[in-house]
Order: sequence, then structure tokens, then C-alpha cells
Amino acid sequence: MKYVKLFYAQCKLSVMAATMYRANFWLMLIQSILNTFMTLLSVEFIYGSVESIAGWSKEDMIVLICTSLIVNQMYRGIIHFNQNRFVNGVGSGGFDKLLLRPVNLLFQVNTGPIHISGLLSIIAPVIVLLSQLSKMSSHISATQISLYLLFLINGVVVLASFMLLLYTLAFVFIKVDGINNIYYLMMDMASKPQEMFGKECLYGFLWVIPAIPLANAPAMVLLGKRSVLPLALYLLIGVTFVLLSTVSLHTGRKRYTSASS
Amino acid sequence: MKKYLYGFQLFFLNSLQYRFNTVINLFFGNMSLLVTMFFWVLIFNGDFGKSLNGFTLSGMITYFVISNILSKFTLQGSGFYYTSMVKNGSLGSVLLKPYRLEWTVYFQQISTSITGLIPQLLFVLCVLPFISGFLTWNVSVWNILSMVMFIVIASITSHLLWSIFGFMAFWMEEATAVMWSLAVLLNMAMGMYIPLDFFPKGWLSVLEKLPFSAWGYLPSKIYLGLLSVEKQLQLLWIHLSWIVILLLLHRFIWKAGLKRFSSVGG
Repeated sequence: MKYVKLFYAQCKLSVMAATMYRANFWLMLIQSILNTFMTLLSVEFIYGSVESIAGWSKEDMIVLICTSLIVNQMYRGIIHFNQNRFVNGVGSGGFDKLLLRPVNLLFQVNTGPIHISGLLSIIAPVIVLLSQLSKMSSHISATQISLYLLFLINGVVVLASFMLLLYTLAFVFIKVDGINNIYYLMMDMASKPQEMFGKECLYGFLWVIPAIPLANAPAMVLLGKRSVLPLALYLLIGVTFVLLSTVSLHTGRKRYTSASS
Repeated sequence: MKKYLYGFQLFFLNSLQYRFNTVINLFFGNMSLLVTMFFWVLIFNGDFGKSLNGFTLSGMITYFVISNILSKFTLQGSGFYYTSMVKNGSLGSVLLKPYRLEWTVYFQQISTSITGLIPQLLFVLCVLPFISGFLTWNVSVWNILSMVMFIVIASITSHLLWSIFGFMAFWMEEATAVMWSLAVLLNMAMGMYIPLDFFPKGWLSVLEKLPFSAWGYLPSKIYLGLLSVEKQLQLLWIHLSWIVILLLLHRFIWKAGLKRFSSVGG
């Protein structure tokens, strides 16, 4: 309950800060809507020349892309900024503050100020997804929608814990902002059908660079493209990366020597 | 020459301070190109004989490799540079210096682009042995000359247009959000996501005449030998005319903006 209250307070403060520069806030939102629109326009144009891509119809591809945008914006809006703050803190000594507070370290590293315009950017892909679903409603059950939401959250968890696992390298190498390129790359891969990776590399993109569980897993659940067993695997991947990132964070903390003292 | 070499030496020494970060940047910074390539292999179903809107699979891969490298000559930074100078007031002191600001900004941005091109070229050289078989090697002297001309035009028009966007800062307190929105639109119009040939019929004839097409699409198509010499010459004149139009617009907006400028903190 304490953490829910804390998260609520952080949200409230972030909204207040964002509304101070209202014009910029709305413009950032427009930019994100444009981004979604342009991505979908590219899909529309590509499907003007082909019927399907590796068994994915245009409607399927829109579901996949919207899902990857939602996962991306959730991570970007709530977690990414705070993880970057943690990385900078390790280099500058600001990490000391996190150690002094009577709050769980993992919670502090992943949460804090919220990137409101990033989070609101979810609206555009959600609207497109809902309109797409309304066209397909006869084929989609309530179980599929519930599982979709579960795997959507799992996707955010996998992304957040995988990135944290990488960011903990800051305890060793100090400057690791180049790791952000791995995040951009993962999101680029997440918006493409998993058939792109080929059967040989499939496990690599599940366990080494877990791009498949981010958007392919929830989208496939919604489109009824998967049986239950591999879905359990996606959840296992989520749990594994949470554990690995937690262990790595605590191991790193033991290595940490304050840069400011 | 010595001072430029010293600049490069400093750049590399600075990069090597954090070796891990440099290696990660080099390796993963350009990997999205491979993702795009694999995606197009999927779209073509791995069929190298298939043609979509005039592009074969190897042509498409080459298109993205070339346009990815050439996109470095799109000088987006000029606009953001002007915006920050107007916003923090440093423009006031720069205006007093005895040089032409637009040329200084142009050459500054070009040098940044060339420096940024080094890791990209290194990456392409590293993957070249693996992808060379999938690329089109359609090189003729005229096409290379024509490409170079379009690259020079692209650097000038992108610098002028982005500077004009940057001048919005004279009227708006915070112009970066608008500029990022424009960047999304222009990336699409310059054929960075998909070649303009995939756009609905009629769009291409308009888009190829706009300045953005020279920022990646046209040079890549020229390299692939998909544009006739007559067409190249026709487009060359159109894009040279854009330089004149943008130059006039640049001067007009710059003068109007300066009248509104009040040097913050200066």
C-alpha cells in the first residue's frame, strides 16, 4: 500500500510539472500521434504491394505494431527516464540518495518522475487497436483479451528488467548510455513478426535479447496464433529477467563506491 | 590540415575514455539497419527474383544501406542549433563576431555529420563481407557524379530548411517539440521508412520534386540505376531551384526573426 501511495504521489507531481508548459506538452503529444500515424501509413503502403508478410495480414500487423507502441510508451513513460537517472547517479554519486531512503531499491530505480507526454502517447495506438478489434470482435474472446493484457504487462516487465540488467553494468563501466541503442533496437525488432528471426535464432531472441515476448507474444494471443505452452514460456522469461536484474542490482550495489564522497 | 587531424585525434581519444560505451555504440548504434534488411527479406519472402514497385530484394537492401549512410548529410542539427542559441541568448554574442553565421553553422554541421559517418561506415564495412552478395553493385561514373551532386544539394537544402524551422524559436518559447513533429513527417517524405515508389500513385511525381527526396531517396535510386539521365537532369534543375527559393526564404525569415529577438541574459 505504501508503494501504491508513493507511486500515486509521483504521478500527481509529474502531472503538475507537465502542465506548467502546456503548449510544449500538447506538441509532444501531437508528435507521438504523428509517429504512430506514419508507422501505420508505412504498413498501409507496404500492404498495397503484398497480400501478407510471413502469414501476417495487414490487420494482424497493425495489432502487432500497436502492441509494440503501447509496450514502448508504457516503458518510456514510467520507467526509462528513471533507469537513466539511476545510471547517471552511479557515475555522479547521486545513487547515494537512493541508498539512504527507506524505500525498496528496485522500486526507486524503476519509478520516480513520470514522462506524462510519453505515457499519454499510448492513446493513439490504443485507439487504433480498439478500432481494429471492433472489426475483428467476432473472433476474439474475453479470455484472449485478458491474456493479451497479462502478456502486455509481461512485455513491459521483460523490457524493464532486461534494460535494468544491462544498466547495472554502470557499476563496472560507469558510462553506459550506449546501452540505450539496445533498447531502440529491441523496440524495432519487437514491431516485426517473430518469423523474421528464423527458427535457428528464435531462442536467442527469447533468452539473450528478449525482443519476442515484448509485442509478438501479446499480439499472437489476441490473434489466436499460439497454444498455451509457449505462452507459459513467455511468463517464465519475465520472471527470470526480474530475478536476474534484482540480483545484478544488489551485486552492483556491493561494488559501488560513492563518486561524490 | 594539422589542426583538423588534431581535432579527429581528440575525438577518438575522448571516445576511448569509456571504451565499453564506445564499442556498444559502434555495435548496436547501427544494428537497426540489419533489422530493416531482414524485414524486407521477409516481405519479399526471400525471393531475389521478385520485384515490388521496381525494386528487387537486393535493390531494396542496397537502397536502405545507401539511404541510411546518406541520411547523415541531412543537417537536422542546424535547426536545433539555432533554437538553442535563440533560447539561451547566446545568439547575441555570436552576431557580434565577424563571420557569416549561416555558413559557420553549415560547416559545423557538415563536420559533425562526417564525424558521425565514421562509426556508420565502420559498421557497414564490418557486415559487408556477409551482405555483399545481397547488394546491387551498379556503379557508373555518371551515376556516382550525379549522386555526389544530389548529396551536396541535400546538405544545403536540409541545412536551409531546418534553419528556417529553427527560426520558429524567435516566435515560440519552445520550438523543439514542433521540430521533432516535422522530423517525423520529413523522414517519411524523404523515403527513410519505405521508398517513395510504394506510396499511392500520383504521390511520387509530387514528392520527388520536393527538397526532401534529395535527402536519401534520389541518390539511392540513382545508385541503383533506376533513374534515367534525362530524369536525373530534370530533377537536378528542380532541386537547384529549391536552393534559391530556400535561400531567399531563409534570409527573409532570419531578418523578420531578428527584429523580435531579445537576447536572454545578454
